[in-house]
Amino acid sequence: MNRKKKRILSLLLTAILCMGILSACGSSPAGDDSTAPAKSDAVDQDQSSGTQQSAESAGPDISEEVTLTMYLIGDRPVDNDEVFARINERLKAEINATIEVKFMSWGEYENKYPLIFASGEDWDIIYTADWCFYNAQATKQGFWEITREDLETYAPMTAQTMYPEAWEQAKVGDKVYMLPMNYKEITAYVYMVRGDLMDKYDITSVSSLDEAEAYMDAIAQNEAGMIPLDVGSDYDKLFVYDRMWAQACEQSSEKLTGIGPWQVMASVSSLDDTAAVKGNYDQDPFLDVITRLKDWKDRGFWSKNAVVNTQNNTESFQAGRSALALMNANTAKSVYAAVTAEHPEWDVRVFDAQEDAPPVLNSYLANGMSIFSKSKHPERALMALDYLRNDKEVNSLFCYGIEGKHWEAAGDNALVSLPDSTNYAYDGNCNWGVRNDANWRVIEGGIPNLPELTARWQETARSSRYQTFVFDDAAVKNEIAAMGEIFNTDYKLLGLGFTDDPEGDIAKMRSKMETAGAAKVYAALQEQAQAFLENN
Amino acid sequence: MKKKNHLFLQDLKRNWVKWLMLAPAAVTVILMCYVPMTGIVLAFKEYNYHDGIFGSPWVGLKNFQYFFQSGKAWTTTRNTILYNMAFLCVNTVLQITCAIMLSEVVGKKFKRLTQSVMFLPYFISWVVVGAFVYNLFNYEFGAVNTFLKNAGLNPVDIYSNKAAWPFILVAFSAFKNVGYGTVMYLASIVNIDPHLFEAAEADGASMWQKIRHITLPCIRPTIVILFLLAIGTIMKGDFQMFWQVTGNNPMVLETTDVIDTYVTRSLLTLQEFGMTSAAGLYQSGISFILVLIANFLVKKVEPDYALF
Repeated sequence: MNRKKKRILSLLLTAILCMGILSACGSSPAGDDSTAPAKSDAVDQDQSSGTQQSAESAGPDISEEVTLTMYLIGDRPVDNDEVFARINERLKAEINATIEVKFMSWGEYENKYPLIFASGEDWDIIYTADWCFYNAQATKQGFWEITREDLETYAPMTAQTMYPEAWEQAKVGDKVYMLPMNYKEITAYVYMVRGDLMDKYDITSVSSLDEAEAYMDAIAQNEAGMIPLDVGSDYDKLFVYDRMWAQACEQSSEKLTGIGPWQVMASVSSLDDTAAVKGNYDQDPFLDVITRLKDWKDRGFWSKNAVVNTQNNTESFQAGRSALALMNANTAKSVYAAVTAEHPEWDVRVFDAQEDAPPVLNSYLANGMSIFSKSKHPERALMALDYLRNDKEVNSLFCYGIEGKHWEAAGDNALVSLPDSTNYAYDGNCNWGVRNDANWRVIEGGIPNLPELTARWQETARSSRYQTFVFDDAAVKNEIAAMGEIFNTDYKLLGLGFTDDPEGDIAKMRSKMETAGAAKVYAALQEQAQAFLENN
Repeated sequence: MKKKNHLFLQDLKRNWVKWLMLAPAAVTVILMCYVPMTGIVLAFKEYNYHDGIFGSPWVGLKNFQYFFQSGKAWTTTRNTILYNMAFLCVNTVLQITCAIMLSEVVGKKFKRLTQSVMFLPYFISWVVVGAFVYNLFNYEFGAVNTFLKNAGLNPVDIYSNKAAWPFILVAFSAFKNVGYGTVMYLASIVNIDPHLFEAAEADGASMWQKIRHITLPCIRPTIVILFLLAIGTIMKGDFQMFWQVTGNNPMVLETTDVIDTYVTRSLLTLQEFGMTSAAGLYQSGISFILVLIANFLVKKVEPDYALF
């Protein structure tokens, strides 16, 4: 009897489980139903706001007080709240809105950034960039579309001042989802070197790969407790490769240049008007670069465990574990200040790491601000961004902190940092998206030879032929996903020189890429690149 | 059908207290496990933020393609199954051995102490274990290599040695889980009727014979149940462990990549929720089949203990 009951019960339970599963299957149409009215609501809202606009052409309705949530990347500066209290004072008076800032740290932003879009959290404004999910989130409808009319209605100052090229660059499939920075920026890399060790080993300059090699060799031979250049973390795993590859591309007769998303590892000759796209592994200089990387790795220039490194090379350098660091000039400014304050005896020196490769004249999309597609107050968010970008007072507060506390003006276009700036660093609060040439002040002091380097870079900087080319990957998503896996594993290993047989491993990667569908992706790239060349 | 219904109501009436006691657990399971299951639809959709999970357009089986196209489906499935079988066998054998040995120990204080020390690692987070491993095996500064160098031997490079990792992972899984299981087996050994042992002693049985013919048969139900429970999670590689202990090291992925780590890695780099859900669904599908097979086998051998 008991046994029978058990059986019946278990049958019942199974039935319930089955029902659960069935209801899971059935609930999707139900879900569709429930979202349908929500959609029509949205349309209604749009319509009503449309009528509002036409009714009050004098200016947008700001009678309701709103608090906007803004996401920035980085750690909260100590004085952030104080600075934003001042910004909010003004925003409240002008547009009846205040901003609350939330931060996601550099360590977690790659994971957190996409998740806050999906989480259902209520927020309005976010920092974005071509390297920071702009395309990916825009194509997934994560951002609110900004039209020319919106700009004129809600952001009149921006409508006037924005560089027309910037607006064009921000287009994804003919729609704009970002206010790009109004600032011409150059990305250039520098070596940061320990002066005391240079003197010890009689090295006078570290401004080319060959000189860096000599310096690192001296360290590897003589300084047992030190790793010459501690690369390998997710952040800097390809730094050395990038330098070598850029140098090799510049020296190549075809003047190679990268194209498409980085996972597809593609390049093209900038002289070739047919835009024949090839994998980097099929370009002539690739083998030499990898062989040299292998040689550097074998000589102990970076750790044998570099691939599991969790510290980046700048952190190791600051901690005294390594003798050389590679970083972009912007990072170098703040690192230089920190290191010289902490270890004046190191006599830190900064050298140009660009060598023959011209620094990149960044696209305007290298920094920008966007509005969340589900923001409850997108118009007000746009108005707030208008002030953050263009209003001299608000813009300066956000970019450099409080005048008289964090900085002091030095003429109209420069400033001097005050000691309190450790609590709100110059150009350091993820304010890059609202940088504006009209309000910009350069900082005085810092790296002694930086003005000289900057002058040289400004002369040589150029943007690559395909800088503003945006690849529409809709047709080849699966292929790109599969290639992304190869990029993360095989390419990363080669880029750090972890190979016993460069030629063999490159061949292996080539065949993996072929299986993943590289040919299809490169063909799509070439087709779109040709269309791009015709239109530009 | 009517009769069954009747029986159920009768049972509900008679044992309502027990049903009530079951209710919170049942509600939790339904809320936390069955309701979220609706998210499975994501595997067949091209997700966008605006339309959400249910509104996004359907794409059929397209999301499953990349998993097979990347050539990783086979390696990760193989690794997941083999690792979990190894964990299951090694851990179970060690747990039973330790439990039996502890039960034979006479000194009470020593027994308690050993038990606690063995249990402790269970509470250490994998993140911390990952740091242990790194500090042990780091090529330049690791404990193992420092020791080898001082002893005049050649340092070893564990982080690029694919073959070493299965052993390291199995060892650390045992380090963390053996204590926990030992306590469970110990509890069931303590429950064995002492008269059985006394009778065996009177008959002159050796310790080995007692273990072989009394202890093991008596704890068989516990073994089978714990085994079955473990089978259910066999496809869910202990994600934390693989992610933290190997440091997501591309040099050894061939032998350490399981479905979970693969899914996480691709979600982090691609933000394609649909594709990663598809890989997750594939994992659940295989897991379901494995549970069915395991249950079928148990039913053959020991029909009383089968789950259903």
